[in-house]
Amino acid sequence: MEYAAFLVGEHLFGFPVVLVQEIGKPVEVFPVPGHDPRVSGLVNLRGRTAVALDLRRSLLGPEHGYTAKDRRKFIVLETTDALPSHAREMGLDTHREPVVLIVDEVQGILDGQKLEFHPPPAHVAERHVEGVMKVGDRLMTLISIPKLVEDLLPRKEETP
Amino acid sequence: MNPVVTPKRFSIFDPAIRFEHREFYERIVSELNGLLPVCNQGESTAVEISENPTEQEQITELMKRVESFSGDLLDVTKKLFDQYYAAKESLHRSILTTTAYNKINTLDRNLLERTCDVRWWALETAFSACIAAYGRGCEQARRLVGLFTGDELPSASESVGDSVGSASGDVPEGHLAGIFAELADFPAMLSEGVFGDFRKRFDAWRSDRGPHGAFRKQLEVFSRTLEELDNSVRTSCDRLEDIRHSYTLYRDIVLTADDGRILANANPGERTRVLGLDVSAESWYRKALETRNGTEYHAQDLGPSVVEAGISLVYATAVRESSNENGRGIGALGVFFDFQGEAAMILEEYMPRDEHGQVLEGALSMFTDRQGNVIASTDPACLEPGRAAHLPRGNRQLESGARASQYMVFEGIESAVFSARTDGYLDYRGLGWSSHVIVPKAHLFELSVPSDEIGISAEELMDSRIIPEINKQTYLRVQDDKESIQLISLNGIVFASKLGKRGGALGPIFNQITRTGDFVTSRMEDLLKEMALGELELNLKALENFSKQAIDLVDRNLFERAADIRWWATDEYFWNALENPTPENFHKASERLKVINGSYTMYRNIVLANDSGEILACSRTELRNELSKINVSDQSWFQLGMRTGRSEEFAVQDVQKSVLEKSKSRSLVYSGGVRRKGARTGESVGVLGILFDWDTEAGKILSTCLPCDSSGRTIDGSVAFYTNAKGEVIESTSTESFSVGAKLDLPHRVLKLAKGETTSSVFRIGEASYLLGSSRTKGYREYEGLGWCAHVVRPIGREVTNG
Repeated sequence: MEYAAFLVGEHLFGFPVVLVQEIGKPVEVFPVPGHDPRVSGLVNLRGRTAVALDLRRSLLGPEHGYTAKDRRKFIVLETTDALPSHAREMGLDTHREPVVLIVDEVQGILDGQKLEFHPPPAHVAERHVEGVMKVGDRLMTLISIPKLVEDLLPRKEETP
Repeated sequence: MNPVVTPKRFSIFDPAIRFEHREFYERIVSELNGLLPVCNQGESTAVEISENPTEQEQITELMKRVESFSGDLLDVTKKLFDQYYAAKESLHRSILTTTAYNKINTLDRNLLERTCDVRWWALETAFSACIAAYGRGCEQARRLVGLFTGDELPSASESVGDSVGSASGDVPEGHLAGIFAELADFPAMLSEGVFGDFRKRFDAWRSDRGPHGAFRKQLEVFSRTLEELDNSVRTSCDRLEDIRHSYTLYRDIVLTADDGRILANANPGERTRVLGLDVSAESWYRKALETRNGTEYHAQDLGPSVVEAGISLVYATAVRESSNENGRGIGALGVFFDFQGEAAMILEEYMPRDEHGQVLEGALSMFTDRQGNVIASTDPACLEPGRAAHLPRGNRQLESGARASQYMVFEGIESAVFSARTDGYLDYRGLGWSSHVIVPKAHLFELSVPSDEIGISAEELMDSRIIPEINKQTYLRVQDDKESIQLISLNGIVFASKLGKRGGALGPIFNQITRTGDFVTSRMEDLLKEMALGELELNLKALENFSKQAIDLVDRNLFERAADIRWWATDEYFWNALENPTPENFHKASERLKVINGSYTMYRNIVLANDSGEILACSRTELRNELSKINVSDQSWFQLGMRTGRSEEFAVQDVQKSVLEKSKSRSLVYSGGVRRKGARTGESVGVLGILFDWDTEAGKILSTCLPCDSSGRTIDGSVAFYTNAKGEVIESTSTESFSVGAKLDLPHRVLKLAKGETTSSVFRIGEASYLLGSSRTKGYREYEGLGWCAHVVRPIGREVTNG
């Protein structure tokens, strides 16, 4: 499996590249009052509205959020419906609605077969951390997209 | 200040473009061209691996975007070169036209002082007395000759007739006739020593065989006139010599009577030849007699004169009856300025040098006169004085104060010529001269040296306000393009990975695009950083030049002060008052000081102290009572002044608080010993001290040494200041940062500057950082300098911060 590797702050994170629809430059984010602060707001992706998640706040803590001056990349996720069949066969999933992850920088696409996998260390409580991979002399934290997104965008009762 | 010019566009094919850059460009072109087949391959691979038209279209679209980006990048590269070369050209133009202007301005500032000198000296009483004595001598000689030849008979004609008759009978014919023949050509006797000889022979004849009666009395009067004239010529020569000793930039100074004969001169080596010369045909002499009062003078542009062998630059004015500045002109004083020596000194300055300190091959500098003829140059072999200078028309026909720059081939070298025409200085309007600096064109576009030593990173530099907005925009654009290419490749790889095994064939294609994109954009970033370094280097150079200008101007100004004090200390009023200390004599001395100070407004006060340190006269007469209570025997200016043993010596007390000026926190005092009878050597009997108006004069100089932007506005936050040998600020254009009294922790390279050296660096004080150009004094002629430095800073950061 190949992984999209990206930086949030100084930290390297990754998830299967097959979940990515597109990587793009930042576009304008429209904040929505009352949101969880880890949700930056809504963005317009060629006519489709997507929810943008601030991964610095989500992964590093509330005081680390992005500002408009920061260098950022937007990772647009595939919706569950649009995932290729082989991805679903592997048990991968994203979210039903369009979601954008705001990160510092995309480092590249890494071949998982060449990397050493470790299960999440015992002291890590976050349920979206699936494990750690050794990339050269650095460590890449693997995150589970569905778990991360679900924590931030809980399914609401009234949602059909 | 600088003329608005449409910026030149540099094509990559311009001959000025360096071969390194042309190679670089070729490489970029071939890399980008290499992408086209890769894109074609990508499109055909898409057809091979997928039958889904949507997938095919997505790949084709990515490839099209790559193609369009590579075209854009090529465009940016071309623009980048244009900006790179245009920036270097414009910075050099600004620096070198300023250099050209500074050269002519330095000369004019000097010449302004010369116009003051000649007007002041012409009022010396010894000179009008000498001319008057000569006039009487001529008149009496004419009458005597008339008597002898019978053209003009005195009233007692009989006795005279007898006397002359008897005389001619007793004296050998030749002797008498000889004496009267000499008298008939009286002015010819002006040659050095001739008067004395003649008077001896005349007196010998007069007492042995001379006639008696009324005629004898006339001969006695004439003998006394001869003696007086002989003394008077000697005194005048002495005074002129004193002047020349004090003001070493004159080759000669001549005093002429109203018949154009030279009565006295300053250069003893030339005296035998020069005295008695007739300059009545020379223009400077005639124009000097046309001046209407003591405030007028005539500046005679370079030309030949019988006074000296070379080409002369003469400042002249009339000597007036009884030395009254509104009196009738009775003769002229002409000062022969050492133009060639001074011009050579100025032309050598600010020239681009190689690593061995030699002036760069092909770099030349010259002055031209109003007609465009060379009057001085750094290389008389190819820029011969007296010949028309081969310059582009635009550089020849300049308006007053205008600057120009042009390319041309000079001596077979593709060169750039930077010119500026004088606009005079203060009330000296100049002689319409221009100054030109020629440098090889290749010098303008030389590669910059790495900035490691300067102490600023390329990133900090790119973000600073040193770099023009347009370059910053290009930098951002290149970074943006780099990001776009990376994204295209990333998305391509994302896309390929979703195709699973089928996508494998696309991998190498996107990798190639990534590699090319990274290579091209990082090289362009390098080029931009190189460009930024070039800008930094030239900005530092400009600051160095400004600091050098600031220290040179102050050195030259202080040389004049050193000259003034040496000259005035020999003035009769002062030694007379000290030798005969009566209230009346000190009153006269004070009045004399007041007159001097009236002409020389750069002094706040001039004081005369006796050998025990009591102040007995001053130019600001209203302060006399106050100052008379002060004893200055513990002051260094006084002690050093007393210790001078010769009139060519002077002393100076560095900028500090002085008892002479309670209201001022800083004074600069020059002093010179006053000797008995104004002798050139001997013990001092008192000291003359002059209080230079330091803050005003230094402030004026500093304010002209601040860097400007291309529209001529002073750059925000820039400051020019002087530090003394201890590193304390002694004058500054700012009262906020680098203000007077501040003790600065200057960079090591500034502290270790030797005499006359210049350097530049990045200077950080707390949060603020600056570019700093510094020069240490080298003095000027007899003024050796006090170890001061001049500094000019401009802030680097985006925000204005105070140090």
